[in-house]
Amino acid sequence: MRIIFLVGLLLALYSCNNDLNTIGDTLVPAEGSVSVESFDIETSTVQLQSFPTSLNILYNALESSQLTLGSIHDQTTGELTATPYFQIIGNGNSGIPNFEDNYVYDSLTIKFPFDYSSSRIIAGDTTALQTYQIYRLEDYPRFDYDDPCIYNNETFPYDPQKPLATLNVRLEREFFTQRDEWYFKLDDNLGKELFNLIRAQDSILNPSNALDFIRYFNGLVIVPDEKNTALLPIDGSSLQLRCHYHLNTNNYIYPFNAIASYSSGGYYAFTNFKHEPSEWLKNISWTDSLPFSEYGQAVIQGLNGYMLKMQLPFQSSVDPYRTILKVEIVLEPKVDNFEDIPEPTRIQVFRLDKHSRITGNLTDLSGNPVYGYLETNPYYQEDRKFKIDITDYYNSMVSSGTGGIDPELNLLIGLPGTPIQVGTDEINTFVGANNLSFQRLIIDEVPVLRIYYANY
Amino acid sequence: MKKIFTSIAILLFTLGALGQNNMGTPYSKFGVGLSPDNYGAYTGMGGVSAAMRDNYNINFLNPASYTALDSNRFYFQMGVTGEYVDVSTYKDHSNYKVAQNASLNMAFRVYKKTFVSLGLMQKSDRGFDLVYSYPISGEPTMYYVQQLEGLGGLNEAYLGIAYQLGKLSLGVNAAYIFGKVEDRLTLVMQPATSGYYLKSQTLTHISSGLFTFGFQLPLELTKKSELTLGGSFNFGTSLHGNRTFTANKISNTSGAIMNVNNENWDNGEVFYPFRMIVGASYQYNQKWLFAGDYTYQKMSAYEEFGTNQEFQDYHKAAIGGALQPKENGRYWWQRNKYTMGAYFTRSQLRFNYTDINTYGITVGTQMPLRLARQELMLGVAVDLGMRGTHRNNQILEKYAKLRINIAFKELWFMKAKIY
Repeated sequence: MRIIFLVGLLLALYSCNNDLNTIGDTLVPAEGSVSVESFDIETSTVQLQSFPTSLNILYNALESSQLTLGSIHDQTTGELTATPYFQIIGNGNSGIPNFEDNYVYDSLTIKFPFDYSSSRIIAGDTTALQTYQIYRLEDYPRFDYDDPCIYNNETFPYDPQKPLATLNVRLEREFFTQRDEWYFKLDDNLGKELFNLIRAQDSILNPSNALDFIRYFNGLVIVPDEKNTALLPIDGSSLQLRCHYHLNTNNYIYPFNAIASYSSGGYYAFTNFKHEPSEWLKNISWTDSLPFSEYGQAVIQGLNGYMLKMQLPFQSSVDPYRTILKVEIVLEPKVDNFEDIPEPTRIQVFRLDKHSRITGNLTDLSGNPVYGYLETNPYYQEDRKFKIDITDYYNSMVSSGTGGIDPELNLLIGLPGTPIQVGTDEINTFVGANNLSFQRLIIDEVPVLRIYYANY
Repeated sequence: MKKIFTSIAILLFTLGALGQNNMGTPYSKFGVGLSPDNYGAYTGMGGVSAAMRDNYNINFLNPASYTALDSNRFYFQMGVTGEYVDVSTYKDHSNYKVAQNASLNMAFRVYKKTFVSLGLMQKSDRGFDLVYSYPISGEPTMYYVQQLEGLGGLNEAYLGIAYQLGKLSLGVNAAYIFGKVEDRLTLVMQPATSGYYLKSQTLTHISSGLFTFGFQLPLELTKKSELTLGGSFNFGTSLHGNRTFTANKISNTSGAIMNVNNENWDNGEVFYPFRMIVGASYQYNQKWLFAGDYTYQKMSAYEEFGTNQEFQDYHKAAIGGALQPKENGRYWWQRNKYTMGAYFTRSQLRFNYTDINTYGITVGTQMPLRLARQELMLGVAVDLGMRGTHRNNQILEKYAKLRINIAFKELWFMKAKIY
């Protein structure tokens, strides 16, 4: 009994809740602190002048079969004209039509390839009338096994005096709903030529002989008028040339499908981007960058290939009780951006080698790509900043001591994407939002590197 | 066998209490923590100890007192304090509850007038958990949270011996001081969505010997009254210490740990300064007892790893009284000792030109329980007091402590003799 009493007594005291959360910040001074130091980053604008736009690459890397069509005037960066090139091939021979029966050719059309119900325009004004013309190519792209893609700056010849069709549309829902379908009506001479091939049941119409048809037909290009004001996404795999004919009262359609709708046929569909830069961006290239200080601004933009190149400053610290908790790049977007050009909400950082070649995505220690996200002050909407956490990268660069960062090493900031290696080329090329989107980020404040230190 | 198991169980509980974070006061941050101002067998008398000697309690604070114990008995004593503390500043308010200052002691005679005691007890306690939130210097729109945690403290395992030379008793406790002092710092930027946070740990292991000497001299004034003078002291002693400092950065996203600092200071020293307690007690007619103590420790000489911590000297004054109506009375309430006391300390801490003082009053009782084959002294004491002040941004702690002290005599560990 005595033992139970004693043990119980000790247990009662022992089981006191030793919750030691207490107060005392007025007594015990904070032993550590977090401070931040800010440094201006040497920044310049560069232009990626060559990037793949053929669908074989875009589909493999981005699962996208987007071609881009249109023309736009960007007050900051200049003019951009997007011209899609594509190939069609025959749909085989079913015996209909033929020369035995009295089939009659009606027309040759291409459905206007913008699906207003599921897509939005890439950028621009939807109220102005847009004009597009279709031309037949005079040559076709040869497949290059060493470099199996077509780039944004490639063109193929066509006779600008011989448009096959012209279409004027307004890129508004109300406009498109006026008819069941908006289409290009192509030249009937071409239509009859194709109709005769169909009636003759020519072997080049068999998909297995696609290359023969391409050699014969060369392909098509949709050319936007220079006065157009919008860029459209079009599905390169759903483009279809349709030959309309009839027998008695029965109407028929023979479809020529885009070869991009077939596996590995994406090579024959690509977009040419023609850019006329604004005065301040003239003479920029991948190697000839435009320092921020020259015009007090820098720009990131897709389709034009504009990106930011940065040389990070290095601040040596010999204090053994001071360490970096966080390093971030802060970009302040221009406030008065009223054009119909979207701004990205996410940007990405890439690594460059000493020769300014893209070596890969910048990643954190876990291997995740480093992105920058737009943060907006909820109390002051115009206070917006892109913040990019590059802590792991900066740590790895400076952890060796006071040696600092190699001045020949730079970071590249652009729209999200992936550097990839194509064919036998040892230099990576770039695939991502830059190839599909006209998103633009104008920086008119010097980018800042913020280093948060723990002092302990 | 049953008694052995019981003893082991009690020992484990005591060790468990020793191992806890036994404080919640930021005042324990400094040095090796706060030493208890009032504990031991005479907590109910303001914690006096220098001239206290009786044959019921092991007064381990003065080793000379062991000679007052019965010569043919084996003593076993344990004690622990439960504490409720209300902590406040001029703007905040909090409280904590802890069990602390556990002690376990044994004593017996080994040869004629030579007595031995051994035991285990806490010497100092640390325990606090402070959370701060400050704006980041250079970026006032962001802030960081800092958590400061402290734990540990020193324990003391001792072997004491006392010898009675005439009326004069002399004693010494040879103690092994051991324990750790740990400080943890966490710095987290808010919001903690990316980057790293910092965790650092300063851990000091201390272990060394410490000798405490004591004397007591009972002087019979009259047939009914006796005056006892006593004192105990230790010389300034360098305690051996090893200190490690580690700091790690931990990723807020992946949890990856990156070591930043890993430093060791082996064979350092913590200088534990000279401490003495002197006092006197006056007993009248086997009924009344009055005692007073003065404690001094030269804490201004306290050093850690060669650095003086700039404390001030420690002073304590304590007085106490006890009334035992009739030692051999018929009724239990007559045999009880009724105690009360008070104490005042000016601690080694001084912040912002403000001394951190402690005031306390105590009341208690010591109940002798005579059982069939043993005697037990159950001591219960209540200590009400306050430490610190609200002045000059300091912290005021109001506390209520309950000290339980149980002392057994004989038969627990000895077989009865058969004549």
